[in-house]
Amino acid sequence: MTPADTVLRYLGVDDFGATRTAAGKLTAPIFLRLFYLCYLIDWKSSLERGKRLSNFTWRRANWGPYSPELLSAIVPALNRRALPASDLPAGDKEIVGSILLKWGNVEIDTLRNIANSTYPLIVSEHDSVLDLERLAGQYRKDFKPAQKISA
Amino acid sequence: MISRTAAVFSSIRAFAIRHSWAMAIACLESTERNGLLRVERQMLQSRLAPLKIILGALEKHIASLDAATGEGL
Repeated sequence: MTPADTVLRYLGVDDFGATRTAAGKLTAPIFLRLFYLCYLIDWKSSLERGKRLSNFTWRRANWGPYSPELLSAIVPALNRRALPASDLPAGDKEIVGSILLKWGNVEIDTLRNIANSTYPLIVSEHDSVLDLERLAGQYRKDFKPAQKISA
Repeated sequence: MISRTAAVFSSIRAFAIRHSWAMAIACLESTERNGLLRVERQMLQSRLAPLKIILGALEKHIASLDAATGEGL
């Protein structure tokens, strides 16, 4: 699994610094955006490869996916240079790149909606741990065949 | 005295479901023996109209699995 700070550095977390206040403090949107993006990366990785990309533990908060490891990794990652894509393993690079390409620059509401409509957040109780690997298996088993039938 | 309609519609339970379009399922129960036999489409439509309005208003605020599955997530 890729450590939290590596994922954040690949995301170029300091680019999100435009959302700082005049006093240099980070505003809520940067945290939310990173939570949503990193969660989508882990969910996509779980769906496609059966394992998360990062070592984050995900929980379901009122507003969406929450990870204490990610929260504590954001601030230290801010002043470090972004990692080039080549530093990530090929499979990781593809997943991170596809999420960033599609969702990296969308409005925060759009990002929130897409993250909150994923299977783990739909079926899990508030404050429960999201076992993405197990939920991905359940999702593939229960929903993918149904989608093929209805298509 | 309980009206005939009220007896039929003693309970309505509704679920908002989305599967490419907005849909609601209403479960009707009657306290009156064979009361459901008298349920007519026109009666249902008029009684469920407020529910339809409420669901329509809530639709944008309800996370739908379709949004994520449509994006391969």
